Amino acid sequence: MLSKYLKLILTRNIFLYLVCFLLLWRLLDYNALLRNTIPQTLSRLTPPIDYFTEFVDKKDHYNLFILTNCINYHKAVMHFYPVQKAEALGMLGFCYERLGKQSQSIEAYAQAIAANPDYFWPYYNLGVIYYRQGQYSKAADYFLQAIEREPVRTIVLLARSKVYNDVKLSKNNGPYDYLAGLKEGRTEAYILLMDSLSKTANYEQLWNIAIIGIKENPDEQSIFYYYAGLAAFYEKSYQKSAEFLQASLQNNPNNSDAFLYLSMCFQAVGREDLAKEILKKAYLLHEQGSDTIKPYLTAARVRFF
Amino acid sequence: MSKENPQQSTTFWIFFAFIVWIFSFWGFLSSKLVLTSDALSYYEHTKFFVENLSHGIYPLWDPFWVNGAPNDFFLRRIGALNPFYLIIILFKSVGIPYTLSYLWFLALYYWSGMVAFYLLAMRIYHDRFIAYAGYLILLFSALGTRLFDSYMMLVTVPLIWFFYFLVAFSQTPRKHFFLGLVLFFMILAGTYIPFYFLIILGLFLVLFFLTFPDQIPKLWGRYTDFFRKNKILTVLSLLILSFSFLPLITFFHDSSQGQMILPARHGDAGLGHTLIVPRQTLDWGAVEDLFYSSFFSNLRQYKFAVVYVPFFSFIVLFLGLIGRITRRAVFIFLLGMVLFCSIVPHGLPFYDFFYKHIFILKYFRNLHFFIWFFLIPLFVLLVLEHWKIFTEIKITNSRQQLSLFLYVVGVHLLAFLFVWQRKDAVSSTYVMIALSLVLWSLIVLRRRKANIGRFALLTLLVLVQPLEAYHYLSLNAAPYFSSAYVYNFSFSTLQLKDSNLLTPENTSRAKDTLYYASGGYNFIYQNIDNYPLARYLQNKFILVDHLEAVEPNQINTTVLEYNFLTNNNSAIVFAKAGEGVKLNSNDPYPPAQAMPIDENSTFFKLLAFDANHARIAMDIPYQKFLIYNDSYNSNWRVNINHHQATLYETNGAFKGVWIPAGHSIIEFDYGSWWQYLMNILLSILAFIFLAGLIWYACLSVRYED
Repeated sequence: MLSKYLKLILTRNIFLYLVCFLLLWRLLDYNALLRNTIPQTLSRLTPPIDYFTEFVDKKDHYNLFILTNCINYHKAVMHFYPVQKAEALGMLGFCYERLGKQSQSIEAYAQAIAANPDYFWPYYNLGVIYYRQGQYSKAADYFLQAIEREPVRTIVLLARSKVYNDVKLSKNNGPYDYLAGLKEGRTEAYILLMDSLSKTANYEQLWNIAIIGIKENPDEQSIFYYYAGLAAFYEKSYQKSAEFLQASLQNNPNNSDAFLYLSMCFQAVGREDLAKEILKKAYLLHEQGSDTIKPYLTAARVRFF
Repeated sequence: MSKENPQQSTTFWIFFAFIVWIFSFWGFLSSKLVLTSDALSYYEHTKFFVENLSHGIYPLWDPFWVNGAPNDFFLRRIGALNPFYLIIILFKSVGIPYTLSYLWFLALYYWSGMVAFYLLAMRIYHDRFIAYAGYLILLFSALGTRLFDSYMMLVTVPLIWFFYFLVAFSQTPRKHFFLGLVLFFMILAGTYIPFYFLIILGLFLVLFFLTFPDQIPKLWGRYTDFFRKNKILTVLSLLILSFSFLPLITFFHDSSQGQMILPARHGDAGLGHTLIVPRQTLDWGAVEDLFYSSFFSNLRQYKFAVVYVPFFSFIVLFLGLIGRITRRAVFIFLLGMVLFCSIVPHGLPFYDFFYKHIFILKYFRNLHFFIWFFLIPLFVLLVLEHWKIFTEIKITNSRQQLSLFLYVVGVHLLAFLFVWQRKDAVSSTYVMIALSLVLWSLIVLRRRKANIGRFALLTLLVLVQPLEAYHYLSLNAAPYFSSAYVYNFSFSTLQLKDSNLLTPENTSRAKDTLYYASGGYNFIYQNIDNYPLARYLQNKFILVDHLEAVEPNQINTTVLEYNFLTNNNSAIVFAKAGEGVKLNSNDPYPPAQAMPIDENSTFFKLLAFDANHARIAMDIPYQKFLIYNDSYNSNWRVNINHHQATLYETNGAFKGVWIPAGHSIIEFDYGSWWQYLMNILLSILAFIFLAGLIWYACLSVRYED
């Protein structure tokens, strides 16, 4: 009976394959195979990064195809290079956001933060996503965490990253200046944070952040003085507010928003004529399109450098 | 397609499936989507070949490829002996534009290979339904996608035909099978890398004789019987067959002289033969190809070069696992397995051993091409073998029938669960699994359906998934754009001056690694800045008065670059020591600068021009040295007023000759008479073989009727 069953099993196709695969497994140097296969395959999976770094917003199929390829590639990087997980997840978040899949994007960024809490961009990007959704309280929370990151740690992370190296390699000497990008990102994070705080009426914190920002961002002093003035105004410190707003206008005489709040300050202290005059100026500047803050707020998009 | 005539019915379904295939690739076949990668280069070189051929010119030189290069390399690549290229000429002769002619030729040629596969499967399994299943699976495998991004089918199609004729001839030795065998061997041997084919054939024969030793005497008897009866045909065919290697041998010989080189391919393979490839180009192998393809299980992302066989074939493969081992299954499996293991350079010890000891392995890279040339069709054959094995399981009572039915359900359930847990399957995969369950349930429960029903069900279930995949491929492919193809000019005219504005600012300084070029041109391209070189090459012909003779390979590229930049009235020619070279013209007042020739030069007229030839009329008051900025090669000859003159390798890479004062007719000619004779004769012989094959096949059908 046993020999009958044994014969039945030994004469089946499956037995032939099992024997061959076991023999092969015995001969195979799995590590040597993977050492070549993984980098080779990842290299071929690398999507045309030149294309997707240009922040293309087109809704055509080609765009979808490239972004889907990017997702595929970064999933593979995440799988095979666990030390690069945070950056790969960051890229995944970027691609999902571009594809309009916001919940998946948020999930990817949250995982990126879990993988490496020092990485600046996922905080920034989560802040941007929530800001654009009108969830200013959550946005402020993430922007605050973003500016609390040590820039040097993000720089070290990017310098060692295969994912970012791919971007570098995609255009020799291309415009991928991570340091300048990070600096720009931090300034934007400040501005968006201050705007989120103003929209949630958290003026006390706004005042503090604006003061810190004035020290850290010499290039955009006008905006920080403006927000400090705005916070002081709502805190009813009109004198202080007027000082901040005037400092803002010294840095940028075309800041229509600063004029607007300056006018409101004068109105609050009963100097109606002066207030009207300044309001007129604010209106004129606004008509000329010289808003200083609005471009920052409307242009905010997720980014990775 | 009646039940009574299964042959007609199958023919209908074979055509029907092909029409569906055309429909799924219509974007490419109508040229709305563009060819990419290697397919692009093959498209252009085929165009160059057939358009020249249709004007009665056998193009052994390509003047348009990086300032001129021997065309032999491209002729070997496209397999110029292949008589099926006549299809393109036929399409063109009825007014169809070249692009469509070429694309439709690709489709027809590919289809012919699939029909050959059907015939092969019929020879092996003697079952129309199984053979048709194999035809469908292979037709809709990723092999078809490679028409538009590669040149795989130039090997795969003749390979399938070859094996069909080999099996057919071994079973029933007939003249047309023998001619087919010889013709397709000739086509395969004529390509520049026949090694894929030779390795496959060698392995096939070794394993066949090991698995079926009892067949050897029978086969030997049949072969000798045929040869005894057809001595002249056999001897002549074998003679021609051995001659068919001649173009390849001369190509190897020429390339060993260093006159043509393949820098991108040769890489850092050292000082060996230019066709040798470095070891590291093998890093992309069969395993990498399969691993890469595994990332595209979501068929919405489907793109070129992703290995894909309709998923239905895996269900069949699983069903056959419980079947009894057959010798044929062992043979097919071992053939695939041994070949696959032999071409894995990392992780398995075999390849390194073969690379050291088998010289031909040094001449080709792209080991993953074995997947496309052979392993996919072989896999489909294994699937058919499993099909046959499964349907041959004996059912003696209803209990066994129920067990088998439950097994079928179990396999389909597993397939469903596997697909479902991946979460990225296209919806057609689920439809396919359901339809497959219906088909296999009917087979197991012995519910005989009418032919039309069976064939319709099989067609639908095999096609449903690939149709969706190829829909996404079309969406993911680049659309046609006006500059997609480079060789879209007349091959019988030569632009004397490139009118593009050239400045140092708009000329890139980056140097590419050339894929294929003359040795001389590659040298100056790599050693002279792009701007002076491009500036110099704006004119095809230049006259100078002074020469500087240097030993070959001792050229000073700084002097050359200076000459190019300043348009100096001087050129450097290669001459061996002691070789008297006239260095100055007899012009008493030679100009300071060289004289570039363009369409306005009244003393110069290009009388005739084609791939291998240029005839020029010149009328000049004093002797001048004419530089023809087309690569130099020792196969070029020049005649002035019907007398052979000395042709110099000029400015490191080009041709130059002294022109006497007065009226002269100058003729540049490439190649020797025997080179043309050999190529033309072999092409004609290949055509005769094809005609003979069709003739004897028709006779055989009539005789059998």
